[in-house]
Amino acid sequence: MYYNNIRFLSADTEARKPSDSNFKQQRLPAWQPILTAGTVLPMFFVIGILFIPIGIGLLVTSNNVVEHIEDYTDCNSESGNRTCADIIGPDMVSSNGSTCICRIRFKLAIEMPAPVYIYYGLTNFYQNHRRYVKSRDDNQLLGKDVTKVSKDCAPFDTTEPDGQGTPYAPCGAIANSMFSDSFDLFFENEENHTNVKVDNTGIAWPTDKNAKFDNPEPKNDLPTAFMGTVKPLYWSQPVYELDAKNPANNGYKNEDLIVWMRTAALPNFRKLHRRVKHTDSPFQKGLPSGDYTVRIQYSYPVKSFQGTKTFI
Amino acid sequence: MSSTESALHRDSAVANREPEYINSLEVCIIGSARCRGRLRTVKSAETGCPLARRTSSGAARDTRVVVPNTRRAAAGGRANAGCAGNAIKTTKYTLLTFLPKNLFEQFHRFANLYFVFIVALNWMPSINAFGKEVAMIPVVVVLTVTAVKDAYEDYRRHLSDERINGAPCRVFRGGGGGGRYVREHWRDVRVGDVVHLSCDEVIPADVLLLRCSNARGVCYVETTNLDGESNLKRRRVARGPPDVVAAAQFIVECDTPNNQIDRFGGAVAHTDGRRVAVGNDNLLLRGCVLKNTDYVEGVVVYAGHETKAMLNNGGPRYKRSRLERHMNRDVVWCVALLLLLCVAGGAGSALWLGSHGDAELPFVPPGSEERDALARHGVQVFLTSIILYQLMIPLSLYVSMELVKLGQVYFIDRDAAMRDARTGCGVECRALNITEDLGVVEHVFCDKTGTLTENDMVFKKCTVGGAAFAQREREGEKVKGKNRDDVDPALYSTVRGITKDTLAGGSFPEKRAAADRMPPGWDPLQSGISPSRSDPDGSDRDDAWRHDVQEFFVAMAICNTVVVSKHPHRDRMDASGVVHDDDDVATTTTTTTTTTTKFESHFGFMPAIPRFIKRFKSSGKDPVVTESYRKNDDDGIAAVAADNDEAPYYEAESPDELALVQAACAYGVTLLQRTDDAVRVRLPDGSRVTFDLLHVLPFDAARRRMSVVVRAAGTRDPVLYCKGADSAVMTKLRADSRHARRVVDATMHHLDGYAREGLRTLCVARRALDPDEYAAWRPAQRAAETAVAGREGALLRAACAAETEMRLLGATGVEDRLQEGVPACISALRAARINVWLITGDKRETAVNVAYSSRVFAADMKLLHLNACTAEAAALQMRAYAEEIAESTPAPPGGYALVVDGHALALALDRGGDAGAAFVELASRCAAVLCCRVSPLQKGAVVRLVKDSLGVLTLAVGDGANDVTMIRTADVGVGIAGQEGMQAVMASDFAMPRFRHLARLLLVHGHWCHDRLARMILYFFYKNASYVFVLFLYQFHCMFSGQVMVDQIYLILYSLLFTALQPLAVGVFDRDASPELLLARPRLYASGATAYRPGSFWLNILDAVYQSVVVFYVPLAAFSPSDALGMWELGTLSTTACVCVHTAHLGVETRSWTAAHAASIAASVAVYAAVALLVSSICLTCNPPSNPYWVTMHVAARPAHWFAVTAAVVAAL
Repeated sequence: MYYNNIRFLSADTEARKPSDSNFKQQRLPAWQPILTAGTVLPMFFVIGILFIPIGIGLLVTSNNVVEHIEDYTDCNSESGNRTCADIIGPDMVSSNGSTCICRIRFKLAIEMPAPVYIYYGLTNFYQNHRRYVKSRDDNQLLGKDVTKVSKDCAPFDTTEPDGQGTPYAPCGAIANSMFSDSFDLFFENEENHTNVKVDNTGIAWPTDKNAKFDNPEPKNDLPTAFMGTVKPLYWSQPVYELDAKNPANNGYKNEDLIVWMRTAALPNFRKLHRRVKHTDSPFQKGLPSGDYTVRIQYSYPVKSFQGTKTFI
Repeated sequence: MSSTESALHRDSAVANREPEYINSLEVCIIGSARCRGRLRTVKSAETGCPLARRTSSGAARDTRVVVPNTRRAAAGGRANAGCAGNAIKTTKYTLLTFLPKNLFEQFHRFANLYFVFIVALNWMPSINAFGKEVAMIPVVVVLTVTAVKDAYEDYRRHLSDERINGAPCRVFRGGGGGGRYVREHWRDVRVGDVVHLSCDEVIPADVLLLRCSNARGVCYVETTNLDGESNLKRRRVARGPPDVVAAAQFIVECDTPNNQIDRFGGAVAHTDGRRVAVGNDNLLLRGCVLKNTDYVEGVVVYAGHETKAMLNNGGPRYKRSRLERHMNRDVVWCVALLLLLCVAGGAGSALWLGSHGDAELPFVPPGSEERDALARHGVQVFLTSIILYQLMIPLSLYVSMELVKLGQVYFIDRDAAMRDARTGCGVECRALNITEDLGVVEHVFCDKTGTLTENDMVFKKCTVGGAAFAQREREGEKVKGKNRDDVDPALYSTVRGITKDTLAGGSFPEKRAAADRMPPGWDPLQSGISPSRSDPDGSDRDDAWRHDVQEFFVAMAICNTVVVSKHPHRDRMDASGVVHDDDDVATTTTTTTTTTTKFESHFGFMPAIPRFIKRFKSSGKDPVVTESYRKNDDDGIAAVAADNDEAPYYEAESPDELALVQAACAYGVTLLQRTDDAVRVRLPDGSRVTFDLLHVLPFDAARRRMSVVVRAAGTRDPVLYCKGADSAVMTKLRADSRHARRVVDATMHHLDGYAREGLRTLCVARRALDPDEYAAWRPAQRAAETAVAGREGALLRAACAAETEMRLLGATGVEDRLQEGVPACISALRAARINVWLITGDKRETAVNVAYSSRVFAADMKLLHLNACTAEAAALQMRAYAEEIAESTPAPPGGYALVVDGHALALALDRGGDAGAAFVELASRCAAVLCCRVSPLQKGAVVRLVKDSLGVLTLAVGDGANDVTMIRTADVGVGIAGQEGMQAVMASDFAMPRFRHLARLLLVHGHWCHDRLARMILYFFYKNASYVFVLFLYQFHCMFSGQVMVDQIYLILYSLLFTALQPLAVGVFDRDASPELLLARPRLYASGATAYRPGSFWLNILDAVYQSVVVFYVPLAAFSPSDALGMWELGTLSTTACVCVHTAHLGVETRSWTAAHAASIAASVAVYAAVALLVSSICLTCNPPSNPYWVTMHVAARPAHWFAVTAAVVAAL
């Protein structure tokens, strides 16, 4: 490497004289905190005192939250003594499409104030496994071209290996393994056997529903729109029949799907399932204390991964 | 034809005086039959010279033949082909080659290769941890930043090239008789061109000097651009070439281009077959500036990149600081940690998966459950992990460190407190990457002369013929020896007695005898009756002493290489190459004319005067000035006084010489003019004496003396005057008489006294050469001067042959005052637990004295002298001293100080192993070490010995060329921009104007730089490690599948953007103590070195582990299990928490908050927020699989998240 060392203009000493600014002389005003016991201890106290009301607030809030959890993994089938888990088999392949109905009864000791949410919980379900997380195609979910699927979805991209055959809609392991149990909640007092009405919308992020997920054209004729695709391997119905009653909640816009597609951070997770409609008596103020029954259409196998399912 | 004419004139004039002298001149003049005849004899005599043999045997392999372009057609038009043009290109790239070449160079760096490896890994489909595009961001960013930096530097080089290539100069164009000088750009100058240069013009290429305005063919160049020395160097016309423009009947044979600046050999061969040897003093080097000469003309022999200046331009030096070495060690630990994490991930994933048996898992796509696939799965996860955890290797640290060092250097360069008020120069950091080493220096090796002292010599004392004299002391004033008020009156009156006649006579038998032998016709001073000749028997002691004094001062005045300079110059040729009529110039520049005329009157004795100068005189433009000056000449003391007021301006290569010449001037012996072959001196009585300068035997490090061989005008006997170090001169004396021995003894006694006072001593001796002796010696010297190969050795041998049997005249003592602030600086360094070694070439007494006065030695130290002459004795002495130190209880309050002289040092260094170890062992027990009489090479060897055997960080300070080895050897080299040229500065890492700035440079800036950088490096380790640990903790919750919850964009940008600025601010701006405090408490310096210890790394890693656990689990605990926490939300949360925790951590680390800190933190957090929001608002499908649309907003909208982050920060700290 060469450098020119020929100086043509004599260096003007005046020009080389540095400016006497505070910045260049490193004399910027500085605050030098010196940590001593005298300063640190009061600081700790102040921080601690600040946190006390926060803690109190949190405690009160969390005490007001009433939560009831029922594990129904091993609930017994309505139609016999076998558990539903036995009936549908240990994994997706064996359970393919089969359902089993079971009931569990529980008692709410205190009233649950409105609004009440129904969650389902899974344990030991690694929704965060790397290959699982990758196995989705957001372009397809955006309704761009349902027949074009990403290789990321493999082996749940198309019916045949290596991209041959008909594409799945929605593709990928996440969608394929969508939670499929459904619940009916009944309030049981002396005389009544009231079905608790629930809402299956408003459970996903509005942004997800409005922007990230969209149905392909023509939006008003979903069977046509999903022409050229097949339902995921483990699904019992195609994606456009997820909510036949509400067209706005069908296809990729189905909030159950959207919720499921937002993968959980931890292997033990819950997802919001339904919102209780607080319109009819006696549920205006929440769920009154008393006995309840849940009728579960049990179709989601968890035994293969020693998982449990809960109704919350 | 003026030069031909003038040469002729001179030649014949000299020939008339002394035919046998002329025979030795290698002068070739075309058109003079007489000369031609003579030249033949010269040529035949010269065949013994190796150069002639080589060149006459045809074009040897290692010669270049240059044909003047004016006659190139005659030479077939293909001459000078293959020689480089004068256009230079110092740029590395062209527009076309920039991209490939720059990329190629960048991929040589390990860090970049690592990046590329990561990216390549990411392209493997089964691993593919990141999106392919995203993963390339870091590489692209780093490469782009570096490329932009390189491109900018290259562009600046290009601009500078352009400026230089476009500079104008005048080149002779057109062949035959019709050519003239035309203005050309430098880039168009070719080898073989004849160029014309005026005073103060920069020389465009290496030019062989052919013609010069100066009658004697001497011109002067300033080589500041080349080596930084500001003194003038004399160059002379290659003797003999005719008027080059008209005839150009010659070719030049010379060495092939090489980078040896001070070596050049070749010959000018005339078309008629005669050759003239040319050497280094005929060559003007590119980049030098022509001085003191009206104009010169010459032929270009090397151009462009083949010039010596360009061949000598090396690249910048690269040193690796100790901190960086430690850091690299810890980076290796990081790699180990990374591999550990990756192996854990891989193994964990395989085991976990295997433990699930054969059942199909809904969350694991089929295909990996088979047993044989487990291992493959493990390997995949392992490789994936390498990509994921790439942050563990803090690659951004390297870039950040370079930036931080740039910032630090910026502030060091601009520190007003380290600026010399006199020159306006500040500290200059020449090496950009070892600023932090300034903070951990343990040994300082320090030159004495010019480093501790001013190197501004003041003549203080002298001893002549055994009698000592001293300048009068004047307190409160800066005493300069040249002030005639200070002179010793007794001595002055003696000196006043010098006249031409006393000098020409001399009082010594051999001298007188020689004078008697002088042929009457050859003594122009014959008419004068000198005292000695009128009284041949008056050689009593007093008279002898009187003559000694006279000779002593004459020797002081002429035995040197001082140049008398400064007078205006003019050139008849203007910038475009048009020669103006003399009359035009004369009328427009009347003032110049007068002074020129006046100057020329100095050379009135010269028979040859260039034609146009002559015309001035004859036209009588300003006779008055000339007259008045002439009058001064004969005016005796009045004239001396008058002349002193306009004392000649001297330029000397060494300050000692300058001091001596000025002192001689003060005593009335004034050096008036030094030319190539004559020295003109004015004696106190106003008369002038011209000495024919027969030979200069220049100073060299081996002889440690220099001599001149002169012959006073009109006398026949050559006299050799020698001055040099006492040891170098004393051994070459002839002390046969009792008187002579007494003089030597007395002088030695005085010298010891001078040395104790810290004066630099030089001995002056003379030797009258017998004409026969001289005749015998001269050919050897001639041969040595003209030798091409082995020239140094030949010169040395010839010089030693002459410098013997000398008679001691006296000795001088020159004071070199300590620089201002040196004692304070050194005591500060010592208080900072830095060992200061003084290494000097001076005498022991002088050195010890300076050591005391500069406080290298404290008054209460016990001195141990190591001065053994044999290896055994040295070993014995060292053992004895070691025992003494071990046994003495209590030790002396100041500890021990070791004084080693060069000889003993050589023994210690030579024997290597044992002696060296023993020496270092002994030295390390002493509080201070002084090495005196050390050669430049030994300086380097001492530094190396200490550096290698003690493993300490060494710093060497020096100012002269003799310190260069030391400066290069030491870990940190500091050059003092002093009087002895710039070689030391060129070799140094830091250059500073005064020694006292060293304290501030080390104690304040060094401490700061080290402290800042150490903390920044540790912070980087901590920061990246804790982020990676957060990611790793997540693996426990995702089957070690290699999934990260953090969006890959955050992952990539984390250290590039989000947490890049704050540590930079700390690295550049933070300061743990004020400069005043650091200077007042030097011991803080020693503690500063502990900022980065081996343990610090692990401490920070532990901290990182703790904080990552907190950062990961606190938010998790806040949400689990009551909430449906999405993976990407968790990732956003973790990143936010990390940014906050790391920033807060840095806030705690920051020692002094300034606006820069606050701004950098605010900027980083803002950038993070902006990026997070931006990505979240636009990224619908851009970044599978996360596609974090609205995640950030979702997270930010929930107070619980903020609480989690706050809690994490508080808990983490």
